Amino acid sequence: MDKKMTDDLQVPEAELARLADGSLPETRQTELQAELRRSPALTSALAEQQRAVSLLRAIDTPAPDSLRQWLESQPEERQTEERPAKRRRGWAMPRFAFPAALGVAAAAIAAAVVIAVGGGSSSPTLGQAAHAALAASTMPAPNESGAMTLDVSAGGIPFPYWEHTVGWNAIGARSDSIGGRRAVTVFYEAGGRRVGYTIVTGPPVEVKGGVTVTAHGTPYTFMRTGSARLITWVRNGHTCVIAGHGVTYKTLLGLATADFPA
Amino acid sequence: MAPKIECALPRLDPTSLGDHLDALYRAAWALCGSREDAEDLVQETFTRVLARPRNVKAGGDRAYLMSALRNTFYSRLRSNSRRPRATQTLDDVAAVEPRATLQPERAAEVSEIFAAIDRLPEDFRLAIAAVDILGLSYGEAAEALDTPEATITTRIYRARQRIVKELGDPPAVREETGPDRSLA
Repeated sequence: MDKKMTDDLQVPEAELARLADGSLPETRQTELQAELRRSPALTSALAEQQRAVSLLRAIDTPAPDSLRQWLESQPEERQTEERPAKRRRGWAMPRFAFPAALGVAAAAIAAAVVIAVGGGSSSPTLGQAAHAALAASTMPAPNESGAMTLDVSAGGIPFPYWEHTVGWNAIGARSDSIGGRRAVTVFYEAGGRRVGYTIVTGPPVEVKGGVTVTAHGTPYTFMRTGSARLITWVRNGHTCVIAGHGVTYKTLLGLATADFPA
Repeated sequence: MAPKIECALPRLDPTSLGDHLDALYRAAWALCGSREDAEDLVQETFTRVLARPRNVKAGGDRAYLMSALRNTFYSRLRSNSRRPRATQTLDDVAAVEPRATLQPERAAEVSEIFAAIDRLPEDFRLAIAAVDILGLSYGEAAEALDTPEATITTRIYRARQRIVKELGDPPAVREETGPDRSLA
């Protein structure tokens, strides 16, 4: 017989576990109750199991609202459509569906096709930067220009190439003018989630509220904007913002620090 | 020629995923040890599940989702071990999004329980997540985790034992003796 027995007790552990949570068949329960009456050690072991069961099964912490919102936002057709199963490498989107468009993307960003977000020439706000980061892509994904960067930049800061480091693929871009400043956004995707990484050129945009943590000596501020989350920090004097729906703060910080030298 | 017999397994109903969200999130928390990682894990699991229609074997939707959660958990472990680590501990950031709760003591107690689960070996965590957190039967858990039922029950027994030892004695119930009782 190779059943594991409780220490010094001739009762299989499995039976005590089942007795504690009520899943042991009734006939065996009766037999075991008789053994329990004869053995304080067995009674103690059972009490221990019962305490664990009551603690564990009473946990009723709900899922975060952001996760529920993300699930509810999944398109109906995605949930019901029959699709042929395709083997893809990891969860990456095919990086460049239209290679011919790559040059166009870089040129278009370089030419800074200006799309006004918000109005006027007053100082840009973080809300405007977040709006750009959460807006739709207007240009194809930029190409990689090296192991770590894409061939698009803002304020001299190249956008990161994240596919090999953190598994997020560039899927599009846009360029805006907010408060008279150039703001370039590259959109990334991984596992069905999407973020926009916006760099607002010029003096740092004022940040009010949120919670700031310091990593690698750089302060990063987290906050919510509607149902989205964002992280913002200053790099080389310019304001960087990464925002997305259904993305955790930890993921955002992971991305913000992903291209930071180790 | 014999006619082709098709075995029609029931399909997972994607519109019912929301019914399992809370329980799966708690199971993910038990596996990952942090709420943020749990949120990521559940999101990635659902993304995979929703990618195409799924046939559900014995055990029903919840057992299928536990199996998907486990597979995604392992995939993430593998891919994380291949990638350079760029993120540090984010304990402070958790404060950004405090969970609304009417019972802060209960929230603290739950955190302690999850911390005790986090210190268990991975196989024990999986068993506890499946049976005591997600609410699967031992048979369903065995199916979902691709492990013999006897092994699951033994792991459950030992995991519970360790959790209780980690948590120590239950707090003594104090008698409230009247308006002059001390807060000390």
